Amino acid sequence: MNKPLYCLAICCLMCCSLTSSYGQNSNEPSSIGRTYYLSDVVVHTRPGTDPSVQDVIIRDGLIDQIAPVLQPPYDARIIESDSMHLYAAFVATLTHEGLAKEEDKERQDVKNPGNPTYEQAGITPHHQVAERLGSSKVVSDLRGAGFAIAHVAADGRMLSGETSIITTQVVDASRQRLLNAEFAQYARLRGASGRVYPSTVIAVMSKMRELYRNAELADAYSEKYGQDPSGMAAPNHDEVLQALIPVTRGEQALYYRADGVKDIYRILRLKDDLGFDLVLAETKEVWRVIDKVKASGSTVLLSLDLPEEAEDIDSTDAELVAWHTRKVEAYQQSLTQAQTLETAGIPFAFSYLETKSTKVHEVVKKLIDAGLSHKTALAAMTTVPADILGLAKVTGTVEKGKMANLILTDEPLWSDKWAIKHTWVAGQHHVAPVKPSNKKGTPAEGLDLIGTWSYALEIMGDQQTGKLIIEEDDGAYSVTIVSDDEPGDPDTIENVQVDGKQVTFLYSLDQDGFTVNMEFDLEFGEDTFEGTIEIEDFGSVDISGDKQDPEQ
Amino acid sequence: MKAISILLALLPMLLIAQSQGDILIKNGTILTITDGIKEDSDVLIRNGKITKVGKSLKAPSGVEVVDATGLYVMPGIIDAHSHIAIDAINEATNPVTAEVFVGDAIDPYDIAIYRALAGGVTTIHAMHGSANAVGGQCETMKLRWGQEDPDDFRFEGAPRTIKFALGENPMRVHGEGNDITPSTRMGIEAVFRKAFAEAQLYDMAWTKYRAGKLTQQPQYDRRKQTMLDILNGDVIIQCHSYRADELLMLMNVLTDYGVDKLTFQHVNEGFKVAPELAAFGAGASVFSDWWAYKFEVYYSTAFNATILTRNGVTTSINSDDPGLIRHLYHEASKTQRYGDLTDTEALSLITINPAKQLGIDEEVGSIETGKHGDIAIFKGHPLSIYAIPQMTIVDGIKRFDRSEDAADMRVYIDPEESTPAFYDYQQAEEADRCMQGVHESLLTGHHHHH
Repeated sequence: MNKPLYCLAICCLMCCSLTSSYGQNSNEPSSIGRTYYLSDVVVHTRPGTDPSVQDVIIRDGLIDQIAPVLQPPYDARIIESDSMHLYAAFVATLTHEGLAKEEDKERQDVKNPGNPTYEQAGITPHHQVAERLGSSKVVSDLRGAGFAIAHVAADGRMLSGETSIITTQVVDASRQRLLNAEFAQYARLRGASGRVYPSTVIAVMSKMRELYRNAELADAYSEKYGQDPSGMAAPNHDEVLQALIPVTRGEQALYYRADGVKDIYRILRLKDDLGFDLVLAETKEVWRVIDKVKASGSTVLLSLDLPEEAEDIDSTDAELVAWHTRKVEAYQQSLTQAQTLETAGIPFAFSYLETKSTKVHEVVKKLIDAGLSHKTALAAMTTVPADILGLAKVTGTVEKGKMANLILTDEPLWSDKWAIKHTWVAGQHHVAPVKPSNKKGTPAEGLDLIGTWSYALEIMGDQQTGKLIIEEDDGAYSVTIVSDDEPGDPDTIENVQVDGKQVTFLYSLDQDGFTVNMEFDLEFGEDTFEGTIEIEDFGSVDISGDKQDPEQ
Repeated sequence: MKAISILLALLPMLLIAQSQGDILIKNGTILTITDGIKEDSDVLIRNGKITKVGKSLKAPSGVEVVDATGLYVMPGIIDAHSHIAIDAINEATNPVTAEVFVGDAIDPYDIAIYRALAGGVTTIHAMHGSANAVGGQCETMKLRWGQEDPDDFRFEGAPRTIKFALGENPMRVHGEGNDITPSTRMGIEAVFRKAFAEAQLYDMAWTKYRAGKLTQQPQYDRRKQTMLDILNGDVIIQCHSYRADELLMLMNVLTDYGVDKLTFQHVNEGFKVAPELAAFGAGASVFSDWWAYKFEVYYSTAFNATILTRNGVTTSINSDDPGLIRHLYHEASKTQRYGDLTDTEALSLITINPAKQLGIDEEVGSIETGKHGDIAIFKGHPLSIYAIPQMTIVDGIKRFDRSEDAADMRVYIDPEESTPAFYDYQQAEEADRCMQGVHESLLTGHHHHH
């Protein structure tokens, strides 16, 4: 019975959408050390304080002076800021942005999948994000969304590596952006790639317990050896265990990604058993487990990757209405879980692992419209993350002596129409582009992609058919997939790349604790298309189809 | 309409917040299993435990009374082999994965839990799959549907159990799949012996190190430690098995290593070596009449449970399936069609006997004072084809009540789900649970991998 893969394929075709955006800033960097003068600007010192009109001087990367009346220094650049709003720039508590793009790895061929190397197993706590920071280009989205500081983790499997805290400055060498190269460890309950140990959540949890205990043993042994090595063999050096020792000692926190309520329970179980300093990252469905999270004393980073809201139904069928009501309630619980945390007295910030920085404010606005207070939202993006990252004295508020991490907006944050006009990152000045570019590529001359295309593919001998509906809106392309097996349940992918005859897009699916990515790569002709779907850890599947007559 | 739908949504919430209750069941026919049948009798449960069984019991104030007049009251059914309520079943990457524990992946929201309750089941043995010669540790669970904390489902104090597997499944996954041992039945024996021997060496290394006779500290190894725990008698082996020669092989291996806590699962050729199983003290947990789904299991009989029972083997009937688990009482009754077991013997196959095999017979498996308040109430005798489960009580709390069985009894709902629960049902019925998670099985066509 090939049911599981069939289900997987159906799920992939039916359930997923990956949101993404490619807004770009095209700022000219300014040199650090320059002096700036802002007059009559509305200063929002910290979340919850009343704004006040002040003059502000930025000098040598710091907030130099704030007072109702200041004379512009002779060497200052004067920024037109009358009636504009000055806030502390945001602090991204945890993100995957800021890393250099990696070459696509070849699918690993593991000789003995039951006894893999650390690398094959996805256990790389000794890897450092600091070694993988990208050029200035990769932080431009973060900076464009108002983030001056970002805590960057590499995505990966069980233990992907040591995280770093960086600024979003434009610099000559990426390491110049580092504020803390060895800040924390980042972990997931995610098995190794391609049926390699540990492949399930039960093996991941077992392996975590084993590594943790061995790190403690190695630490104790080294200490004993250091005191008196006589009669003792020299300690074995295991770079993975060495990298975990700061966590076992409580010197580094473990940022553990919790994709849902079951993950939260499992991670809290590990914390109970092992005793590490836990930050729940990219947390979803925390409202279901609020008392236990509070009792654990863990820090919570809320995901901004909200579920889709259920569409209204047109039915009087009691069962369907009840079902729909429950879906709407579940959505509302997700939308308001920030308030749930606030009511419970659990401090929280956001994390940005599943939400691109270019989409952050759209989501935060949604949360505010659902009742989250400005004060709490601002705290979750400034003071709380500064505190979590140990930077409370450095950034997060508009106060004299702090790093000049500031944003200047035309209207108050998250009002109906607002935009960041100027950003300072460690005193480095950036002016927002006049109009954000939204270009997504263009199709080849004479090629009409728009319309409905049939498709056919075969997975494990199972024929699957359906329709692809390609639409275009202001240069942005979307593809809607309608499977013939589930015609009533189409799914739309927004982040579609069009380049000449090539159309590419990505589907991502979480199942049994794994993320399965499917990459569509299609080449279109006038009336037909063909291409491949690359399914992660499985291989590629051919797909082809024809353009449909719109009359039919 | 609106008010009703909101009430439905709140229903599961009402179950939350307590896991031990009080209840008085009045005037039922009590099938105690261990102490005969008591007509027109009552069962009082206080704080989750059975405190009295007798006639004309008075309800203490505040204790709910259930009228069981004309109904049959039996101990909650125990399924000794299940894969529901867990998110991971097979860590199919190594022939030995003793270190993994399905209890780390409890899924409190699996609707199969509620469906099992609707078949009178109160306790399950959630097992690792049969991909590996030594699979993972299993979890004995109480079906406290409505709770959300995985810890609330653990059967407190139940002994540890671990899955072993003989025959074609581990041979195919590792031998054919990865070209490593075992690719034959003798290879499987070698895997067991090697794993036990490594555990002994591990124990020796730590003992030496602690005594100052080893200069380098050994590593902590959860796989070897678990094998060592088996050798120390702390874990009951639950072994997937079919052929008589293999049953004898494993008993020989365990005898060599001094291990005696063993229950065979499936054990379709158990009837051929029933005296040997009885002499070893091995339990047998079988299907009523299910075989011929692959080569090594073509030789079996529906008389298996009866023959094993008559030879003194502690025998149970299990489901291994989210559908079958709902009518284990029918499965037990087949031993009266294909054998001559008494009512109590037949019901023992799904109550006290699986409790013995799981080491929890002091707590559950019969209606006795001091045992857990786990009760299944039937209209019609449970061994009758006309039996209909009415109510299922776990630790004195109603977890299923046929009169309050709303259309959507799920605790968890995904705001993005595109199909009603029916789709989950289809998946659960058709997906292959025992070998779930085994990539290799996708490639081998139409098998039923028990």
